[in-house]
Amino acid sequence: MTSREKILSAIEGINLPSKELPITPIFEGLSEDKHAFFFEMLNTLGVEVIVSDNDDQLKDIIKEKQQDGKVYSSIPDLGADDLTVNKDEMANLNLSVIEGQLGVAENGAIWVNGEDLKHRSLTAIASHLLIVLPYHKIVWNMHEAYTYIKPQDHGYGVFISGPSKTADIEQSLVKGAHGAKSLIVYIQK
Amino acid sequence: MSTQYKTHQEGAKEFNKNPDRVTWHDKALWFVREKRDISAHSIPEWEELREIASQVKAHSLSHLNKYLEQFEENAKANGVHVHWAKDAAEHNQIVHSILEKHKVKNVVKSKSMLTEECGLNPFLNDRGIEVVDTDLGERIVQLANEHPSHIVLPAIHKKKEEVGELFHEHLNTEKGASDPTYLTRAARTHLREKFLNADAAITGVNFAVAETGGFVVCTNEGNVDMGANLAPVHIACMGIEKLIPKVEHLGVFLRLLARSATGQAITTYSSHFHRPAEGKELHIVLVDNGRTEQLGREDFRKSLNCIRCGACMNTCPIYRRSGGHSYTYTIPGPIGAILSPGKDLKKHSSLPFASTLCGSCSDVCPVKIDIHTQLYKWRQLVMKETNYEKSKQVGMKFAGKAMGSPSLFNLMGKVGNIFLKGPRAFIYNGLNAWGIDRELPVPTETFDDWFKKNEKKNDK
Amino acid sequence: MKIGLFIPCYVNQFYPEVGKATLQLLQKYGEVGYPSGQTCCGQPMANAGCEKDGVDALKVFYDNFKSYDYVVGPSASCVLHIREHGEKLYPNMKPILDKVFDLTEFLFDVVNEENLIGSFPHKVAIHKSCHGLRGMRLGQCSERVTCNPSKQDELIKQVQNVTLVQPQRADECCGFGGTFSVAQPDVSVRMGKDRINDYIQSGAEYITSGDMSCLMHLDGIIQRQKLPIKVIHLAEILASNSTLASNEKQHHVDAI
Repeated sequence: MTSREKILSAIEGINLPSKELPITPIFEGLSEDKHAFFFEMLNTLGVEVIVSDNDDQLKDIIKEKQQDGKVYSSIPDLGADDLTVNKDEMANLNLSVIEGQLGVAENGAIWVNGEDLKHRSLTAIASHLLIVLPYHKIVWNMHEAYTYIKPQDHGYGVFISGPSKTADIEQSLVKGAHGAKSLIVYIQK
Repeated sequence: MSTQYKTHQEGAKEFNKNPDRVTWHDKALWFVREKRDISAHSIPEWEELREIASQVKAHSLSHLNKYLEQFEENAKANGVHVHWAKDAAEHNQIVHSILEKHKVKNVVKSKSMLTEECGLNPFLNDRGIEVVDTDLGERIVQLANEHPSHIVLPAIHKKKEEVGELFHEHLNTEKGASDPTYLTRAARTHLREKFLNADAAITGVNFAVAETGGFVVCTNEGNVDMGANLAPVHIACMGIEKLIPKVEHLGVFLRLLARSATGQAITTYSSHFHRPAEGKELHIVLVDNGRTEQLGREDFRKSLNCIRCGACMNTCPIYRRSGGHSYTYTIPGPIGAILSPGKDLKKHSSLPFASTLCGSCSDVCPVKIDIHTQLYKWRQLVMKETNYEKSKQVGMKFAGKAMGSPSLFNLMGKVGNIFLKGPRAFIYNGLNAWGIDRELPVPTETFDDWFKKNEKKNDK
Repeated sequence: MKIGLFIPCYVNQFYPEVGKATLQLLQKYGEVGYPSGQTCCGQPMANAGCEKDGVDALKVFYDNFKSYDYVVGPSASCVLHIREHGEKLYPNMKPILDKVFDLTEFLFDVVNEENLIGSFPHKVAIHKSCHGLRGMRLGQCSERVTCNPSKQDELIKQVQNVTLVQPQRADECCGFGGTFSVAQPDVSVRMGKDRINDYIQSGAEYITSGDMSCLMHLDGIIQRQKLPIKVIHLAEILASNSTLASNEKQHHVDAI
């Protein structure tokens, strides 16, 4: 008997009484204004929020960050650098600009599709991260989020909520553990 | 390795020899518990979410066969290699054989209590493979040659000065430097090197979704997204109880997990993996290692609901004042004390007694495990089936008999009172654990005697 | 109504004034009987992992109280044990289990007491015993997102001149835990000290509770360390206006 068979037959042998699967409601929001709540949540997470109806400021940020290293962007025509998929080159990126598909107001998380990126590690490897998110793509909570996000359609996808952080040394919060040291969320109106 | 105590009492006694450290440890964890409270109280539907989560887990466990097969089928269709391990040894062998096939020398690992449970690191080290734990807390305990003392905050027992010392020795940081930001940056640089040179990444799994064959790993540091996305091979190790039926259930659990663990609304990275990147390999190892046995124990089945948030540790007044290393099992605290007896009743017989049964653990638990009730039930089994504190058992038998006989019980009370009125040295000595730091109550006239004397008056 | 007065063994031995205060309070609502020959509820055995050794104690309890309309005792912990484990350990008990109440529950839920006439001019902190709080939900538990009434607070507020003070940690365990207190004296005493310090910091003159066992443990530390705070059972405060109780209380206060 293989281990697979052993495990499955052991479970079979227990013959557990079936328990019903509950219905999960979507639940209401905590605020009338989910945008304001989302921005407030991002502030709490130490995220810089920029709301704009054009690309100008975004291009400026890229230019500024290029002074300290290369900038990758998954969005074309912003003046970012060309990137070869090379570990060392990616590790030296100063900024990674990526597209967010959906923002979640209750926790400040933003969904990113791995396929949109030249390499999956671009969600974490650059010193700084900038996520561009359309203004209308914000939902209230995680239940609502999963009605839009189909993670199975993506080999890799991730909810990112703020810059990477750790509190493993005496519970002192430090931003920039292994992933981005800072996060800018650029909301496009 | 850190000292392994034979009983929790032994470890707790040792920990309490340094009262300032107890104060510090208690405060650090209480701070996390308070953050959890604020976070939970900001969600009006919190209790409803807990109930749904608990029911989803109960349902999943009651259909575990179906969901395991469904998960396997979907994962395979996604191009993922699925392995089954009945125990720790097989788990380690499977992981090793994958690494061997790819001639892996350097592995980066992100937090996984399962690999800790299986003793994977020493197994691979013995076979010439370097395994680097990349979660900062885990890296700290790894460098110190210790075990995690907490499942979410592995190095919570270490002071920053001790981390500074350790990093000075291993990472060449400045001597005497203990600033957390400085030390974290040093670890970032050190571990970047490891991420970039890793031949394989091992991660744990927080939730695996049957209907899609994918899984989710939650971190704050981004070590999973660095490790798994950079290395050519990604091995995800999971206990079979991590399965949930559908994607929609992720919404429930991701709302509960981080809020319960640290008070954050969600972890920084909630990484979903379904297919390997082009030219890479993704493996999943499904591990039993005692879980089906626990599933068969009606009284303790619910312990498999656990999503490893650590809230029961943060709230446990005994854990906070005895430290994670005082427990005899990989997973410390209340949840460890109900998981471990099922693995080895004799070895972990002291753990169900490391509690006042205050019930706070059950009330913070996001998946509503009746932890303190299970502690009570394990106690009954420990006393029945092991030699744990045999002398206590004899005493309890005698006391139980006396309590069945009012006249004998009354006599014992009277004798006891005479004893308590005796000379101080006679009462307060090494045999009296109560009296080491506490006075005994002073007996007066019993209520019973008073009532009899005043019966007429009372009956008026 | 016929009320059976359940006096836990250690209350009988060491804290007769708690029994007297409970008796005083209950006499307002009916005929109170006190069956002599009470022993123990059997909880010490059960929590030590020897629940079967406590069956004889439950039999005695059942025989003593089977004929009453209500059974009331000044100890949430003992009552909880009887309710949670009574039926499984001694199935005959089943019919009386719904009639067994802790004093707080009886006053708040059964007789809906709203007019206590006591007076207790002191600053008081309520120590929420775990079995009362999390076992019986006598109040709002800090862990849970619920709005339970805090029954002991509501009752004590009816007593005149009492000032309730709040500790930093609303409902942390005192560390007694029955046999835990002697099996792990280091941690147990440490937990007790931390609670006492919290209550002292809050400005309380008295720590009160519905469970005398927690208070016995805390008082043991207070006496040893000669700390500036006293313990008193909730029943004594609620009954504080009656002549008998106040005389006895004076006696109790003098003793500590």
